[in-house]
Amino acid sequence: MSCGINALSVRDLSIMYGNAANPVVDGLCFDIVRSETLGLFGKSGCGKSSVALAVMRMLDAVGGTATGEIIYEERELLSLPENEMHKIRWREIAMVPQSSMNALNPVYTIKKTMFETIRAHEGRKTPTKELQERCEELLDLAQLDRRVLSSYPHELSGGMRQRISIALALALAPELLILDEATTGLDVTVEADILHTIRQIKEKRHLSLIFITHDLRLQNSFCDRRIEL
Amino acid sequence: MKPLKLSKRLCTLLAVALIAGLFASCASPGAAPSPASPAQPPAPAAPDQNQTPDRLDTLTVAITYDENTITPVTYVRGTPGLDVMRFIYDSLFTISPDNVAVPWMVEDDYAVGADMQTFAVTLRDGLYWHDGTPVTADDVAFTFDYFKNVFTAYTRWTNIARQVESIDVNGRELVFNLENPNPGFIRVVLADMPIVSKAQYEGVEDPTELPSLGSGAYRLAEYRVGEFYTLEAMDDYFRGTPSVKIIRMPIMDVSAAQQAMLAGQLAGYTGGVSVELIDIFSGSPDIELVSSDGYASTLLLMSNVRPPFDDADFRRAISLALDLDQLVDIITLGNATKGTAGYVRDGLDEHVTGLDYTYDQNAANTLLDSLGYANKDADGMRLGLDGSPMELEILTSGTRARDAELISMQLESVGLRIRVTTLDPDALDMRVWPDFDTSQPHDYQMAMFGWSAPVVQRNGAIIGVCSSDYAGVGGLNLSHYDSKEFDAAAEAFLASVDPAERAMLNEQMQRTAAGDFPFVTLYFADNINAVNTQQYSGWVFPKGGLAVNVFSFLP
Amino acid sequence: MTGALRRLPHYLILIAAMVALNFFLPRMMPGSPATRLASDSGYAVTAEEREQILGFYNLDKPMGEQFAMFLEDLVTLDWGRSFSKKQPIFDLIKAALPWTLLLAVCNIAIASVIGTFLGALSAFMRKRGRDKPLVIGMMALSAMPAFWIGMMLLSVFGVRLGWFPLFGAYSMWGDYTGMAYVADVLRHLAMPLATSVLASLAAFFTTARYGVLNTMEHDYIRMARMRGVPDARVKTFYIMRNGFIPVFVVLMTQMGFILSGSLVIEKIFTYPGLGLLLADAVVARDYPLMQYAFLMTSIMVAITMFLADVLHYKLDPALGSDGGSEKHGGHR
Repeated sequence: MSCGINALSVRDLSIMYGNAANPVVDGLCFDIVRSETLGLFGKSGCGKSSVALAVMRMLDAVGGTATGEIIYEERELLSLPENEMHKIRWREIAMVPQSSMNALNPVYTIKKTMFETIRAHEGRKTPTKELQERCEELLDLAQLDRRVLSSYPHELSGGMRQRISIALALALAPELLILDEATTGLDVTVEADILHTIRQIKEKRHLSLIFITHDLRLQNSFCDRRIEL
Repeated sequence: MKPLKLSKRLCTLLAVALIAGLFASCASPGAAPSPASPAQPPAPAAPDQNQTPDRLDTLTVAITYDENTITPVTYVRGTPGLDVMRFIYDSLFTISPDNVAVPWMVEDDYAVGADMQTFAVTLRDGLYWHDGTPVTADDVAFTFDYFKNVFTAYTRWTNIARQVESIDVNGRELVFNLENPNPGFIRVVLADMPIVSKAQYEGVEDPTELPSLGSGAYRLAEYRVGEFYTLEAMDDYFRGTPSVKIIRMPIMDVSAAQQAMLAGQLAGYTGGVSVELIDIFSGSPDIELVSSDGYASTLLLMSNVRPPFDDADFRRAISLALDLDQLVDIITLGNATKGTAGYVRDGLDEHVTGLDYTYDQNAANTLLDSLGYANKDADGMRLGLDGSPMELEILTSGTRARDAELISMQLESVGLRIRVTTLDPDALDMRVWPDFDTSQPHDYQMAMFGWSAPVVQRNGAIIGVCSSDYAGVGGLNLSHYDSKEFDAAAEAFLASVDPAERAMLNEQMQRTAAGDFPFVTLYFADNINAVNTQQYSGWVFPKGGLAVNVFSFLP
Repeated sequence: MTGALRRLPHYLILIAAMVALNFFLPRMMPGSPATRLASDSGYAVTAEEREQILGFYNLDKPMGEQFAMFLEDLVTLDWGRSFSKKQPIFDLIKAALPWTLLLAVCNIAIASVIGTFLGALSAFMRKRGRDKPLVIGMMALSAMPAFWIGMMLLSVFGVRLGWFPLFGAYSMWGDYTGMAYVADVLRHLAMPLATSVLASLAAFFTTARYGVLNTMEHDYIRMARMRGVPDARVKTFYIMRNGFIPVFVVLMTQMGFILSGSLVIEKIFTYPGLGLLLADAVVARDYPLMQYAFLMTSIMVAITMFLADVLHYKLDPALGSDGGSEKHGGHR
């Protein structure tokens, strides 16, 4: 299914919030090559997260609108009907949010969240045993102890929750992963750890990554290429 | 934006509809004067209408308080407790609907000794307790002895029992020998004391747990605490078979009873109708409102020991300034009889004519000026004798607050500013009648008060409220009125047995009191009864009483 | 569950304080029961008689001694007789309690469900402004005092339309059994319950509405949608499930209002529950009855608060944990 060297192409992307005359992002263009780590760099508030949301087609949840073209696998995402986008979102393109402190349902165990995510896309056909195995693999991938499955979010540290988010993002084996400031706010050692994990996953699964950050050092050490907003 | 505007309009419409609906339902049921009242409700809980030509099977009449087992030692209030107790327990004489003491359990020919110290009666035949055993003269003698010597916690019975020194029993004849002469003995004692069963009460220290056992027209068939009573007629009752077989009495307060009457679920209740509701009740076709003389008084008490009220002239000035007609008009909507300075109500035997209050504000002003209260402040309010502003206060509670307000307005027009203080009834009692002990000092200047019908109707009632013997016969003298002249006449009255002499002394007492204005008797509100004549038509409306009484059910 | 049990000592202390307050407060009211004890009103009681009566009921002893006697009686269930009703207090309360419980439990169940559901609905409809009629309606409802609502219902549905009985908890001379009795009780319960529910709705509505509105802002809602969780599921298991947790706090406070508010409602509909008993007791300055009735009400409130607390702990796993130190597992 993959043709062409670009995982994703963005053409002339402009993002606006409310009725504001000034777009947050204006006429952005970039490409991501398959299996590359592209860094999206810029100061805080310059619209980096907005780009991520635009690619995920979740801008309307925060009150934004986008114009332009986002092409994935020869399909233009911004004009895609929602039920089509539903098949792409999370299955092909997934996102790890900036802070996972509040990214998980506080009344669900981790296991329930993960099962639910998978079932939301695959229906109830997948037998529980298989689900259990897959989830355990995902946790292994994210370098988490398997017992985490039966924990509640409030019982886990920030770093662990971030790893859960990573595991969730990988649950349906996407091609493209967006990391939106995924290590900001974490301990330096934890951050290094997670980045190491991500790099390993990328190798293993042949992922393309968009790595959004405002940290120049990180950019240089982690990304193959970078774009500045 | 269009959607928003629409919802705004919708909201306004909803609000208007809601308010309109509320006003529509508020429009009193009686407002529509048309006799063909709209959509008479199906009255789902209407009592059994099994009306055979002579007798009704059941009737539902509400009782407005829980009166325990309604025995002579457990009832709580005069109304409704005592009233309903008389359905179940009889006394030797009774007060007829015309407010006269007539023989009841005794034969019509009874003898009163010339010295007013001996009373001979004969117990009738055919009197039975509700368990079937006959009533004997021994039961009567026992009752008096029991309340005099054994069980003295119920002061009402003990006080009257103590008047009897001894009783001679001979078959069915009884002779009462009194400690002191008392021409009013029949009315005060023999028409009051309920007769209890010797077999039941003998040897019992605490009779409050004994079940109900009377000899009256009805027996207490069932009592569920806080919920209802069921009275069942005694078909062999010596005065005739009662006209309603079973009287059902649910317990509910007056306003609930009024609502239930309007809904057709009650035939009557043990209470009156407040004047504001007259229109609403009139609008209902089955309900009849009957007014009868009320004996309960409403009065303005004044402390005769606290300045400036310790001056009889000051009190007279106040009385001159009061427009009793206005009070009667506004508070009772005309449903009352004005009070007089003689205290005793027009219509009672002891009433003395010519002792009406005068209403003359000019005279009041002149009098106050002459007493030294001529100086006024910037608002035109009189200053005290020493030149400082007067702090006058009137205590009131509950609905009498309206009377107090009206009075304070009337007094303001003669330059007296009165502060109205509203308290709850018990708190007011504590200030006006601390511990219900008249000999204790009180803490009020003016207060709204009232005496119940039984108090007002007594022979020599004025002695209770005007004698300075606070611990004794003057136990109701809350004003602390103290007049040697009055006391002398009172003493003579109590010692006398000659009716003519007593009448003269009575008049003398009233005239003395009338001249001193110890308090102002404002009015005697009528008893307004509401009864459902469609459900039952045998109602009797006694003077000074309510429709729910045993005479309404006797042939 | 252990979290809630740790709260138990708090409630025991609370109940102890209630017992003390319930004893001392009524006695600090002005007025005395002396006159009711002696005879019907209007008859003067001599000082000597008063002393005798007060002595008979132990009212002349020092407060401390009276309190000690009270505690002993309380524990041995020897609650003595009511001054004004002359019946054993235990029997009076035993008869009245079930009716108040019936009213209160039905009220809480219905009002919490309806109020919360309407609150959530109004939060979901907020974006398009369609929630305005609902919010305004609720505000209007919350401005109406319970007694007024009750009297309106009584007047319209009871007196004018005759659809419901006006007094009692059941037809006093009906002698119904089985299903007919249940139907009869329900007919008598309808209006007091409706009044009670209408009066309690607003609190649940507001809390649910703001709880849900608040929850909707959270990250995990957006993330769930992003992960593809269907909208209905997000609404139910993410938004409502989390948004309703503050409602339990409201549930606790509402129980107090509902149980004390039942006094007014019971008086209007002459419903023979604890509230009516209490109303009569207060007017008559009937200390023992007042005491025990207040105490019963207080204890019921405490128990419901405790139950709501337990439920709260079950529903919100984050509550009471000290940052993840609790062991895994055993939560489901």
